[in-house]
Amino acid sequence: MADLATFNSLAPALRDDPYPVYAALRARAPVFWSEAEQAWVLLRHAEVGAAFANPDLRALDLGDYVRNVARRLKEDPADLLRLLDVALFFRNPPAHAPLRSLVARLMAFRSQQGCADAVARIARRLIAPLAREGGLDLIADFANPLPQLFMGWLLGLAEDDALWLGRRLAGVPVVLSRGCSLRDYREADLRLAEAHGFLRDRIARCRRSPGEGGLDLLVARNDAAEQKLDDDRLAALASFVFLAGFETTSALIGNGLWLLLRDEAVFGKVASDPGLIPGAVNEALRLEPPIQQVRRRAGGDQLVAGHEIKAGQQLVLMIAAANRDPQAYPDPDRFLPERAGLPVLSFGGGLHHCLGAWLARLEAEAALRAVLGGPRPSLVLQQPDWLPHHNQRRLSSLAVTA
Amino acid sequence: MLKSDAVRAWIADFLSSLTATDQAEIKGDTRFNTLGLDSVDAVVMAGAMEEHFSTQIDATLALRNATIDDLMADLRANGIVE
Repeated sequence: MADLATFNSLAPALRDDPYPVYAALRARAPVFWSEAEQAWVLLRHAEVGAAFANPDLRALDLGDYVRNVARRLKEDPADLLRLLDVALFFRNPPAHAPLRSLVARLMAFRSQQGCADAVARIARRLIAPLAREGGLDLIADFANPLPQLFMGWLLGLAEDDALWLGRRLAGVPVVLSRGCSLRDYREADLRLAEAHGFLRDRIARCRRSPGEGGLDLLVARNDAAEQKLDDDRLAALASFVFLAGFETTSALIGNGLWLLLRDEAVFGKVASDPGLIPGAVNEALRLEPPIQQVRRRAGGDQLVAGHEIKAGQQLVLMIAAANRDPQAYPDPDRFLPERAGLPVLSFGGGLHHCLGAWLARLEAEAALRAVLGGPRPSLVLQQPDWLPHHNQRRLSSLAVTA
Repeated sequence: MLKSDAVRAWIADFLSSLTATDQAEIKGDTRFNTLGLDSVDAVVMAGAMEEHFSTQIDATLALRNATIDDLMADLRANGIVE
């Protein structure tokens, strides 16, 4: 790791604990060019925050990349490409704004209190088996289904349908990793084809007999718009919303529970003062951000921390490092729910600031509240198992006993 | 486990035909970048290797190594090549 030019965030040594490496690199060179990444790497809060806010640093369109791969192989992953075409975080103006506004309508259509009540109900129900049966897997049985059921509620889907959709779409975000394999793209396309088929059917049903769910709203808004999405695209947009709504939120809930459960003092402190729960969620976002890094491409020449970045060059915005920048957060590796200070960068910023950020916080707070309100869970294993994605931070399981 | 020589020869052959470079110019320490290999090529190469050798080879292996020697060492460390 000594050589900046060969720094590569795909290195397997970074999987379990990348943070000390980022800290050492940041102390040496907060911004540097990596030959291996073929990109500038930004590690400080100041530069990463400014990069998010800079409209001249454009999102990398993964759809273009997958199209290139598919063209080379003479394949047509139609459903995957449809999803990537409506995935807001890869789109730049002018395609970005109309899609974002449609999704923003959906996010805002239930009251905050209504959302809070729904998610609290779901969280209490999912945690109940811990007291009743003495144990569960906080990932498979709790962190994963919670946002799926919540997104299902928001869209107006039956619970079984929401869980079915969650199973179909789980794993699809692996295509967001740099270095995912051809088989991952093919598998994602198959899963999406099934999910999109189901959603097209539901969209047709919304037109036949309009109801009051979020999907009805999406269909009505789209049908009334000047530039309509066809049903293939509309189904892809619904699946994008569902996916974006549960994948990173599940990761956040799991990461937050891990941070609480691994330290008795922290758990006790938050359990005795529920006013600290929002701060605990913020610390989980800061210390273990579900999205560890994102890439941008420079539209024009830029000067970043004294380095000349040329138009067309790529930048890695290392959220995972910026969130632990000691200049932004004193004693950055400690979990301090009472911490105040700069906003965490886990939801990005600027044009692409996460639309569902408040919902993700709401869900994670309800999840922590439900766990803290029940019997104290004990970890079965002291070492967690992180999924092998360099840009997504997520546990594969977290078994506990009551 | 795959034979080291066979894998090395396959990679050199693949790179040679993909980048229209004479095999003699593709050495163990030639950087993929200088051959003009981009990230699409790397993913396609891992996929083609996977099919040719009927074994799972993650594209990250191709993307996190800069030369054939590095890639071979990584394949060995991961128990794919003997």
